[in-house]
Amino acid sequence: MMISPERSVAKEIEELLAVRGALHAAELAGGKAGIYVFRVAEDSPMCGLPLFEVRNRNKQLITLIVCIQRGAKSFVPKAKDVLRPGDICYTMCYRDQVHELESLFQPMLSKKLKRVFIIGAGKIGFQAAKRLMERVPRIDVRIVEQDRAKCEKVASELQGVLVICGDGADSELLLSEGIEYCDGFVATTDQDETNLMLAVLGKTLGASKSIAVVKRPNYLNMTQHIPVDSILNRNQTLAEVIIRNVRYPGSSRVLTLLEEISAEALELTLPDGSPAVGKTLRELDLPSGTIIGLLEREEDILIPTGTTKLLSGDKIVIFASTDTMPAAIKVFGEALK
Amino acid sequence: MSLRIVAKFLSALVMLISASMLFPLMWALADGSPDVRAFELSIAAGVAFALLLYAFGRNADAKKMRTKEAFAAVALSWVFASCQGCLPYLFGGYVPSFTDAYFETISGFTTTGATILTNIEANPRGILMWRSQTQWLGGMGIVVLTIALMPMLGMKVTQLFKAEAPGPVLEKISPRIQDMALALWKVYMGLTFIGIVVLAAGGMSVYDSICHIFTAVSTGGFSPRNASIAAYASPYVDWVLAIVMFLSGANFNLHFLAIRNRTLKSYRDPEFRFYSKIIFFSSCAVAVYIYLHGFFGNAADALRFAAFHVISIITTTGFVSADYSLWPPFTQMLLLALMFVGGCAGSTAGAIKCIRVKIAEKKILCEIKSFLHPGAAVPVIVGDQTVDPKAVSSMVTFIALYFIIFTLSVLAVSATGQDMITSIGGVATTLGNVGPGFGAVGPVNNFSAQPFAAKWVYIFCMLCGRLELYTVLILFSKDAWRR
Repeated sequence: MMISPERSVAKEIEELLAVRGALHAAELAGGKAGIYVFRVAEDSPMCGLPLFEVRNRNKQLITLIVCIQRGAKSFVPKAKDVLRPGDICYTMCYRDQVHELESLFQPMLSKKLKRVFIIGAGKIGFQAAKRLMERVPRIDVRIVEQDRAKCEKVASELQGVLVICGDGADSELLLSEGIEYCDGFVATTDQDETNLMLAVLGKTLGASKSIAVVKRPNYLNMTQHIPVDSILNRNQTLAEVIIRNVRYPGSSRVLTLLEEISAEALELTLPDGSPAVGKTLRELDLPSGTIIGLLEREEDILIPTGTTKLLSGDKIVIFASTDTMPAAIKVFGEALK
Repeated sequence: MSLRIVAKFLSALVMLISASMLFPLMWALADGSPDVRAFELSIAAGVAFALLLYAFGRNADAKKMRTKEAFAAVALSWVFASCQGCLPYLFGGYVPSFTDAYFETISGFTTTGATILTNIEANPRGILMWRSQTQWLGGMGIVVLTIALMPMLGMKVTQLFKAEAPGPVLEKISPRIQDMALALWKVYMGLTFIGIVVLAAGGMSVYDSICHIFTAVSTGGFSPRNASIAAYASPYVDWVLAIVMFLSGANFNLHFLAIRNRTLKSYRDPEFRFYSKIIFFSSCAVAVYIYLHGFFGNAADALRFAAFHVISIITTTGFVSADYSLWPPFTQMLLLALMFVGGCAGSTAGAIKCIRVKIAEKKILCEIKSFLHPGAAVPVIVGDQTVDPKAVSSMVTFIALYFIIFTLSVLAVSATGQDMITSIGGVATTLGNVGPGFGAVGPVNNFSAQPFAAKWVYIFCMLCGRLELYTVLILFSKDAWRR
């Protein structure tokens, strides 16, 4: 098994920059869908609307809000719950529609990605730059790195990336390289604190989205206290990869840890002998707070309702708290390793 | 410097040159023409000369050859080969003055193609075959020299890239130098043989085919006809020669790799692409220009003559199939510019060479970038490989030196009383080993009327241009002559 934590982090950085309104992003169904975490902006057209009304107005959107974090508490929303500015919503959504969804939550941030600054040309910085260059056409990536030798190496390997040898905390350097016009700012040096400070600096100087990569999980909730849009935990990303491969059975593919709300999302393929096959969701005895968020049947992706009948071979995304997840997957005939 | 080691090496070379005179001697014998005597005398003199050199160097230990001796041996090879090679012209009385005979021979061995003969066709076939053959030998010498020998002397024209980055340019053909030389010799022979067959199949006589292919694969440009290729007025001949010249102006490594691996992948080489692009766009520009100026009745002819001359000049061959000195100024300037560009490294072409131009271009872009972004890391990347900064600076220095030698030589030639166009054209064409120049040394004229001093400047230019400048300049350094 190959695990490249840098590449997983790079993937998430790209996702966070592509969907700039998102606080967190994780892939589901092999990239066709994802879990996106949005904060409801003041100018969001959804403010003050109950969820059923949001759904009525946006029938084309295949999406589901699986959890809302409001202040210190988080809950599974009901159709009558009203969205408030500042709510953090955990959504599952079709990848092609994420920008539409984003424009509902964060109308200001939904723009094309043009220029990105990456501070630190370490493994994560390198992988992130590489991924952005490969996936976003005509993007302008600028790396700032202090180590001359590293600069030369990265500049040779990533053609088209501007590698500047200098201090990422030097605001004059950042300004002269045009940080006011940048859409993304990613701090990926070796030190957590430096990255947090740099991300604040980037945001203050005008970057429209600022991301800090940290190792300590305690720093994850800092987004509420400092002007940084996203804080990424490289160890958590690695943990996801490991748990996904060790803890859960072979039929499951993706697991996402949502540490802030102590929840997990797991992707599961229903085997032939599963007790859930042939039953509707309503008939299943799922633990409370468990949500079947997405259903992938052959090429289609749909949001299941209580009357959706499960078939063998269906891929489902289970969303549950870390405590209830083992009980939830038991219903589908799976067990922990 | 140990002259004895150099003498030993040169004795073998002179012997080889003398032996190679047997081929033109065969033509002379078949014709029963008076040049038989010239060749017999030359061979005898050559053998005596070789023995004399051998006697001087017989005790030298060839294993003790150092860089100094190697450079001297390479540079003096061309000087001595030309001394021996000019004998048939002198003994037969076909070229009475030594300066002229030496000019003609060094123009042959350096694959330049500039001539002092006013009436080429008046000479017997043996002499003209020898004239073409000097270029063929010179071309073979240069391929083996630049690809097999020069890297050993630290002049890595073809090995620009850092050792860890593999690629077609870097790929070592074969670990052993003899094998490598042999492999390139095979490619050279193969190209010559196929060229002769194809050309003869189109109706040209076997003798003419051999002469022209000898000077096309070596990108030399001598022709046994006064009017050069224009004498045939045949699109077939023009296109066949254009293709042979084009292939000879490319890196022979690429041909070898393509044949060995049975794939055209090696031609994805960045220098080859650059070379092809220049030829394509220049040909189109010249074709459109001359067509619009009404030089040729139809577009096909305009394209044929444009492509032929663009290829002939950029590969530094110098065949002429139309009088381009009558064409509009822009097309002439373009051809003059191409004289400086030259073919690819590792080919028989001369001048600056595409890879150096390409790297200089990239370096300039990097400089602009580093002005705009002070502190930015700006490696010079060609293809997908980073070029070693040392190699970049040596390339750029080479171009600077090329223009310094050009300027000084133009000054020297103009001091002998030549006008601006003639001196610029004459020096550009001899330094780039092309052949025909502009003005008084243009495509329908020749170098015979040039003053004595100017001819020696041209000889110096041909030698410098052929031996990558430094090989010749090293001989002028005091350090090289110290023990």
